[in-house]
Amino acid sequence: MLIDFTVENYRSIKEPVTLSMIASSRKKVPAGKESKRRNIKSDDEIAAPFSVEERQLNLLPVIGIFGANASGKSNVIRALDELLAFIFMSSNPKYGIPTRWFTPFRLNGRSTKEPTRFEIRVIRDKTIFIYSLVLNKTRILHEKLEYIPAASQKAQTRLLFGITWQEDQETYSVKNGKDLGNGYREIQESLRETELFLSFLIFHLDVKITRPLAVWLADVEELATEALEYKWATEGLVSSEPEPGESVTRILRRFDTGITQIEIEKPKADNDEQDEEIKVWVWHEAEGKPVRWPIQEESTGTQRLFSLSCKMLRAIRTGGLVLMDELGSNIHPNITREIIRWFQSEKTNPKRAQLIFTSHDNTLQRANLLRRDQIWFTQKRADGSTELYPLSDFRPRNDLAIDKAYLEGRFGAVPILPDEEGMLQSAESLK
Amino acid sequence: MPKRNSFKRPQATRAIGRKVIIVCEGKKTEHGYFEAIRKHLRLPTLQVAVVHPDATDPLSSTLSNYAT
Repeated sequence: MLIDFTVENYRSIKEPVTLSMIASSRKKVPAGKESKRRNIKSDDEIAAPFSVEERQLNLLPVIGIFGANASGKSNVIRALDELLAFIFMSSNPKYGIPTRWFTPFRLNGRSTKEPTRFEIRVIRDKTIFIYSLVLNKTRILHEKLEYIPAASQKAQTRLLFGITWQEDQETYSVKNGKDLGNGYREIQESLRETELFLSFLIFHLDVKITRPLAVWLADVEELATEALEYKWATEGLVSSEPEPGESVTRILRRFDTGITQIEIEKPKADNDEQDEEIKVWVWHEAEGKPVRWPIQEESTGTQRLFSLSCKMLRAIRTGGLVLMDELGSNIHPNITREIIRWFQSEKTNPKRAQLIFTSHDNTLQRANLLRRDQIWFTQKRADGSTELYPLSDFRPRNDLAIDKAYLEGRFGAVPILPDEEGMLQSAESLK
Repeated sequence: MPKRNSFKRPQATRAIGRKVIIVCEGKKTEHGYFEAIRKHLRLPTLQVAVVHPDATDPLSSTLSNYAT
């Protein structure tokens, strides 16, 4: 599971921001009479965090990021997404120079020359991994992997490897921890300037220590454009499910789309000329008789729900991380709530897959869906840079209507719009 | 980059914004100043209201409307 993620100097993010899946350790206040009357659930009733007792670590299954347009909420999950994609691709020359993806903050002259920094902490099989990366558009400047082994009593981190660019000598200096040793030193010193040793480790070597991290990385459901989302969803579905049609129907049926059955038509195995597309048929019932048509003829919302169902299905199997930008778009708020609840509950999500989404739908902030440490805001500062903070930073009263207070701007993170007078003036100027 | 060794969330540190209403008579000057400040400081909970001089008597009902 993801523990937290920090990024600095990336697109609209200038100062470091941290997105943390760590549950806040609010003292357990027994639901008093007052809150019972108002039907307000306690944090742990909404979503019990996943506990790793050996490390006194409590992790959340869901986080939602809210904020005005252009406040940087998508950049937060995009940063995470691009970091993970970079780890996947940097060892493959086919992707060109992926360091070029990472655009620094551009609204001041100094930041454009500074590097972009990331740090990510992950736990898998009770082993904690701490990975940090510093890079600019030309090359990787610093890469470091530390870990806390599952068996270790103390929560002390141990170095696996650290690789640092030496500007004066124009070479990389390598420092390895005892647990990795110096067996790979030659490889480490001969990597391309845009290639991560972690990528190499995961894809070309099979090192026991980093295996849990490799598994975690492979299970991430990345962001995708609409067309790509559908393609990846169907491919993932077919490759991992023995009966893909049956399984996805079971999830999709919950959303009341009128679809009775999904039929997946795999491309013929003997056709190796081109990767033929997977055909998806939807079955409906018309006057008692079943009829079918391609999924592309369904509404945009239903198509999106199909892709989401595939992702959910994979997440439930693997317990991986799912990233979704604009979760509410094209989908009814009640269905969005259903998807979130599905991730929140230990019963429907036993492997504790994690969901990080962005949304404009403030009804998702209403009581009993998300905890206060699960609602996050992005706000644009006066210099145009992004600030990121959770609702639990405020200590709001237990019965405060969060969605209403949010729209009023009491937590920030809303657009600053002209008042009536200002609107009239701009309308005047357009005449 | 800040070094985070602990696996705990930091304590609550922010204050919930209070609603502030500035009531003035000047349609152009005062209103323009306060609006510019609101935008410059990015204050979402500030509202600038312009009322007719008749209404600025503290006891008048128009002014007390804003207090609710």
